[in-house]
Amino acid sequence: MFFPSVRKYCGRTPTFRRGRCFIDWYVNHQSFFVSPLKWLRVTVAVIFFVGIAYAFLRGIPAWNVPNMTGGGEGMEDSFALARWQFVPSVLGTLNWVGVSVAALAILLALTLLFGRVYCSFLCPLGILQDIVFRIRRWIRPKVFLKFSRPVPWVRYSILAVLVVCCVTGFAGLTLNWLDPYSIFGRIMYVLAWPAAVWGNNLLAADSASADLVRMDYYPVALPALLASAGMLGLVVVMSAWRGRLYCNTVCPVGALLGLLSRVSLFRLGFDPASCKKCGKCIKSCKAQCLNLKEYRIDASRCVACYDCVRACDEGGIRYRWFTRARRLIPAKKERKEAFPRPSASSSPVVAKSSRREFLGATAVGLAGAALSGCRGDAAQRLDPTQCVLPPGAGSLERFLDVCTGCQMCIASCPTHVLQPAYFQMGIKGFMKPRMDFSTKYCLYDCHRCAEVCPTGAIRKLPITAEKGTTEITKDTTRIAVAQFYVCRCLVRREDMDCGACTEHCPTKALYTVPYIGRDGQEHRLPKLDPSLCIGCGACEHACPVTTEKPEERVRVGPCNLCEEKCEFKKREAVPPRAIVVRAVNPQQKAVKKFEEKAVDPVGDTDFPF
Amino acid sequence: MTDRRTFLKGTAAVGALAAITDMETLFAQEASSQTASGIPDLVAVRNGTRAEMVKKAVETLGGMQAFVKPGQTVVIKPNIGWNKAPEFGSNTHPETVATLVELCKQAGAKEVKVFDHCCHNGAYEGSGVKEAVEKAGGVMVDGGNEGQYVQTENPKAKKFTSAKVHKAVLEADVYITCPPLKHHSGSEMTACMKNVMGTVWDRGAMHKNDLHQCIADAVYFRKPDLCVLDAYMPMVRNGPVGKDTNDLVERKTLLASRDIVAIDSAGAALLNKAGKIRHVLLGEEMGLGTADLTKLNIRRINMA
Repeated sequence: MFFPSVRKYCGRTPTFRRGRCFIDWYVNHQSFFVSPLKWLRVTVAVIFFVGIAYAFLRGIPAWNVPNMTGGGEGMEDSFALARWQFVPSVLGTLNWVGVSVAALAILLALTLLFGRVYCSFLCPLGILQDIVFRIRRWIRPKVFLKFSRPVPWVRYSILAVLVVCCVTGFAGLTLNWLDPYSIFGRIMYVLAWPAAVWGNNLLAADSASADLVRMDYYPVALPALLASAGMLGLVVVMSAWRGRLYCNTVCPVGALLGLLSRVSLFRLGFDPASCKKCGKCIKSCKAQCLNLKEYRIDASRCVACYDCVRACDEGGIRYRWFTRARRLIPAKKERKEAFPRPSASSSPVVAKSSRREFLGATAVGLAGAALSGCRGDAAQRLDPTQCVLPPGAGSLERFLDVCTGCQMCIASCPTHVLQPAYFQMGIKGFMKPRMDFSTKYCLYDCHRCAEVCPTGAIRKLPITAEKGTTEITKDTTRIAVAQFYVCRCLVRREDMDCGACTEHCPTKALYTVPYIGRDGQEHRLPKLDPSLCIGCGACEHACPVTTEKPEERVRVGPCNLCEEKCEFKKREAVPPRAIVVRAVNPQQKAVKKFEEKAVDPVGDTDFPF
Repeated sequence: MTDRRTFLKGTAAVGALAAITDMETLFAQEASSQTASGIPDLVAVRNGTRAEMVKKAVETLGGMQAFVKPGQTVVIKPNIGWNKAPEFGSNTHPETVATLVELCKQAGAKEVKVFDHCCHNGAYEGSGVKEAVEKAGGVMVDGGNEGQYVQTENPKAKKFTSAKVHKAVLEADVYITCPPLKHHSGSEMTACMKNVMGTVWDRGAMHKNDLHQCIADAVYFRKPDLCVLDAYMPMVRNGPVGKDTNDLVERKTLLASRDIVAIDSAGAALLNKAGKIRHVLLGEEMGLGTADLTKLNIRRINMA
């Protein structure tokens, strides 16, 4: 039951005789040992799949219970595996992230050497399909896939559309929908995360322990939920039906790497001399790319899973230097009439030209994506209170082009102030991170989102600025700026003390000044110095003023309390809170206030009482 | 039905408990005023390490066994509001909390719970309090779970008459509060009375409804049996979080008392705001304690 496929493909009846257990076991399972390639693939795939999936769910508090999961020991940095994903590494390279440059170089080198290893070793969406297909095989072991002729125009059209989008500056609209890693990320955050939160809260329901705590779930918008559920459904159905069909018809990364792997130096190939035409290899193939009749393997569709290598009892399918692999193939029979239209893989001349075209176009497209940062004036039409970006994102236009909405930052944000946007940031911003100050606020000395961002869309900045340096740091990056509406402030309105905003302000852009109320008593009224404000949103989150009840929708008159212009001046509407934070686009540099050492207010007195 | 009944019973029990504690404090005060050489109302220690000063202060108040009887459960409420390292002085120093846990354990406490309703995520870990408390044998209790807070009536309050209060505070036999002394932009000062805010779920309601009055009212949910005020490195500006260590001054002082108003009054004096903090004055008005330090028996100890 554990290795059903082995029994099937080995063709040997297991014998269980006393005293020879190990030998029998070895004979029954020896195909595992003759194929280290498959072992390697499965090991790496498990590491990447579990690692990346864990990185998305790491924020669930139940992991921290030491006697429950070991606290995720040794997996703290598993988010780094996402940098090895293809699209993130391309975007990271465009953003000059060192790791991404190396990752992209290695991924391309691997593809040019051994074919589409990325698709089976590293891609979490591909591995997810392998899991689905494996389960399907357990359920219906006798139904297997046959070789199918390629239908390359579908995937090449999708790739071409993507390339065109990249060139024309619509990368932010298409790349995020088609990148397999980001699709997987959204499945994890939108579907697996709520399940994990629910499980966590079930465990923590009655717990008083500080290790096992309840957590809030902030629901995502229904369209986002449907989009992710639909994508998961599509991938699951396609893989259960035809193995790696999604990867070979829809996925543009698969199409691009497929083009590259057609010229790889080492290729999997049949050895016609040892082949008995038993067909075990075809039965094992989930990409439907083994043409046993002609002894050809369609390299552009082969995902390098090595299932066929393991399935072959004769060791007939192996990696060979490409000239040797080609030489082994017997002369091709003429059978033009069966397939009158020459497809990309069956006619090398066409393929060659199309390949060159595509590679060229893709290079141009990616360069275009890099340059198209300033396209569009979307920012002007958006509600600035709703489109605050994480620090290091630069401008809204740039960010929406290079972020693929993989949800890694959102799932990793310790305060969950980062939430996926629905339409607050336009169509391009769908499922990309924005700050929701009703949830929480951005922690002053935290830059977790940039640490985990695999594409470099959120640039990593040093946390604290030292005195006298002009370096751009996280704590001097202004993502938004607060505006104080004194007419709505409780202190001014009701003559009482509050100071919740000043309490939370990390830069002391908000401080309190003495104010004599109508009751004749002295109170502390907040005051804002916008030059120090970095827009973390703590003040807005903390402000107790609301508009929930009618009696709360008042403001103190006359309306000339502020010096600044205010859009609420001549309107019925009131500011929702006494302090409102609005995005600045692009992000700016704020001043950091350094103060001298404080003086003891009571001097040298031992006990001032 | 059962829920309501148990809840009512619980509230009644809490009320009774509060009444009993009141009586005890009353007796203690009487006793101390009768015998001037006996247990003081307020202990102020200077120039020791935090651990030394906590031990000295508690010893002067009659030792931890005067507060904790063997087999009792204790709840310690430090200030762990912010995810800031101990050296920034935003939270109670781990050493202070751990020393109190040790003393309670030595006095025979069955269980010592420590909690705060934090403002920042990860404050338990970031402040170093969790590690120190668990090492000393205490248990960290979750303060971020609304389910742990019980709706409680507060008949003696003027404005903050009903709120959700943390179970640990209501259920424990002994309640110790141990904040650091800090400047606060809204309430002028964070000390023992302000620290009570961390036992309440909806703090926004307190901000909304006259903060100073609500702070004084919230103390009546349950008066702490022992107050320890850590003024080793008080934050004298930019409170309650502070920007950097420049906001702190080295005072090396620690206060301890049974009287929450007296200790806050002395804390205000340390910030040169004696008699100016409204919630302390309101506390005295409402009969929570004595704000006039001249009326109290204060023991001043310089350990240097």
